Amino acid sequence: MDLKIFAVCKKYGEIEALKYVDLKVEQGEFFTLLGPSGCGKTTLLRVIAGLELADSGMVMLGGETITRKPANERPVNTVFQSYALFPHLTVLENISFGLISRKIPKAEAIAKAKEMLDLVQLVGFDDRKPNQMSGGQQQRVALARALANEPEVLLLDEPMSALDAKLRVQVQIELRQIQQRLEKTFIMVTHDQQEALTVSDRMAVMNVGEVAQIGTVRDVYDRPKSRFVADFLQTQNFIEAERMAEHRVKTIYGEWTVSDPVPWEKGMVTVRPENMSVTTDASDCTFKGKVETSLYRGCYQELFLDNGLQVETESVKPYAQGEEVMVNVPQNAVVVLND
Amino acid sequence: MTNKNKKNSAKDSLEESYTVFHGALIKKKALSRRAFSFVSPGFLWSLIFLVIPCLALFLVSFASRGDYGQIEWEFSTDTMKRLAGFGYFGWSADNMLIVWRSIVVAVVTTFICVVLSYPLAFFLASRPDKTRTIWLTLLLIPFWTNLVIRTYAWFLALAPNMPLAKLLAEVGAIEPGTPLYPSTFAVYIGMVSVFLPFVALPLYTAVEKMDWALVEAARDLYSGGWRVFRHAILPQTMPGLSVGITLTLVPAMGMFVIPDMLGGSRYMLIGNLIQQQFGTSRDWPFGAALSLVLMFLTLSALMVSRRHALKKGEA
Repeated sequence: MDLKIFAVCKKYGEIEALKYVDLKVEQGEFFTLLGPSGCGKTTLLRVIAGLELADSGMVMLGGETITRKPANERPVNTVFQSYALFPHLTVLENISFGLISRKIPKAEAIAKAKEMLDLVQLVGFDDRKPNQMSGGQQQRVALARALANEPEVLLLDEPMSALDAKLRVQVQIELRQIQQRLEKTFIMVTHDQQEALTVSDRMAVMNVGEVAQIGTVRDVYDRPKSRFVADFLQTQNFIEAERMAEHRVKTIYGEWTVSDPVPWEKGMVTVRPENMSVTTDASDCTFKGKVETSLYRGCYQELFLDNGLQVETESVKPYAQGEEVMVNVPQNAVVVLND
Repeated sequence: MTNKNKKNSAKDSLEESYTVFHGALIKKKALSRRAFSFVSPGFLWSLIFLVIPCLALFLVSFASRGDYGQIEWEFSTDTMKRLAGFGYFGWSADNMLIVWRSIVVAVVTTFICVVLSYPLAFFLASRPDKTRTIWLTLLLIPFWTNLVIRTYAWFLALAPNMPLAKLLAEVGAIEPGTPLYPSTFAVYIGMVSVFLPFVALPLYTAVEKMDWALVEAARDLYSGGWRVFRHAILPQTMPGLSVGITLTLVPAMGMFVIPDMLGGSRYMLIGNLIQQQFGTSRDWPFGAALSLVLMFLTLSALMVSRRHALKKGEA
């Protein structure tokens, strides 16, 4: 079932957590709400879960309005940030909790719970209590507990924030694989852009209660529309520009041809450091610059140039401070921002 | 060579005798001496005022009553027989009934307090910081008032011309013009009003610390009200609840002021019976034996809650 959100507003006292949010999530896609803390992404997730009531607007699931339906009547389940496992119940009891609540026969519920344990690779943990497990294992139990109910939409509230970096990457891959195997709709909230890009099909970047941009992860990452989105996705180089023609701008680094049409007279363009390259061919040279600082990052190195731009290049050849480099900026790498 | 060795070992033992205690370097011996000196006053206090009196009680309960109420140090099992109901006039269930009634009153009082405390605790915890102090103070004011005065206040509140009695008379539950005391109802009203803060306050602290994500998770997993309470609220508030139950159940079993004043002469609890033995009846051996019964009851209540807490701790 697809999930539609129309003009949802939510206020906490004076603070507007959500301002007329519109969203459509397709059946079977992995959708991520990405944004800094306080942008309203968790509030939106809680509105979908039924843990928070929208002040106005509508939430529709598969054509049915669920705006005012209580949480325990929605075919939606949540993986909580703190996991919220019942500490006095065993893993098996935790996972079968929702099924038992819905009066599904015990044998059937247990069988389903075991199947879920298999799915999250925790076979044999049936009788453990949550506090006898590691954070990563608890997270899997939380996932299994939500999925056991076969929800139409699975909601994940910062599911990996309590895991260490290495485990997080592994869990991201597993989460993606589980989602693709089950072909279920997953909606995740995160502030980690890397996580969002890794697992999702599409994402919405949110800023102070509004959706700033929505699209496939590639689209949003490669072609951010606003300065906020570009900044949040760390494009790094912001360059003031003037319009010369439909596809041509003038910057302090020279005149550039761009792929996007230019909508303004004076505005901003941006280029990712990794989309520029250091070249030895003078005909490829877009601009020259002197290296101010070079940072070795293992598989690549970052050059901070004296003209204020950042370039990423392969790490084989070290660059000395003050060395002059020629930089190539492909036409497609330049992104024209709307604001 | 031997000299040097000696020196070394002396130094080693010096190092061994020191330890770091919460950031302070202290000799191990001094630490244990300090621990002992801190513990001993409390230990002596409970030895003199608790253990010795208990032993005395135990001994007295096997003595017998002299003709003028004095204790005669002759071993006798008379008091024990009387506890079992064998009195001067053959067997009667009175004593047993009194003990049973005491247990029932304590358990029912505790139960009513728990039922009333849950909504109260949630109400208190959900107040904004400013007004919460006021509500807490309101709950505590009766707590600071003398028990006898508070119980007398119930005389007034339950008097025939007061709203409650009038209302009940209107409905036809009681004869017009009769007070609501002495009665079982009045005893429960008095008991619950005394013990409510003892349950409500620990429960409030537990509710305040509660992780609401568990409640939301239970809701999210299709739970109705009872299931949410059973699996998300009860386990989390258990520490506060067991403190409250212990603080109520144990003193409620020995309560004698309230049943005496609001229950009338026919409403005898074990507390009243003990008071009577040491007072008007001047039958110390029987009073001591009854006290032992009461102590046994309260201790077993404590044991049950303790065992429960330990089991929780293991889980």
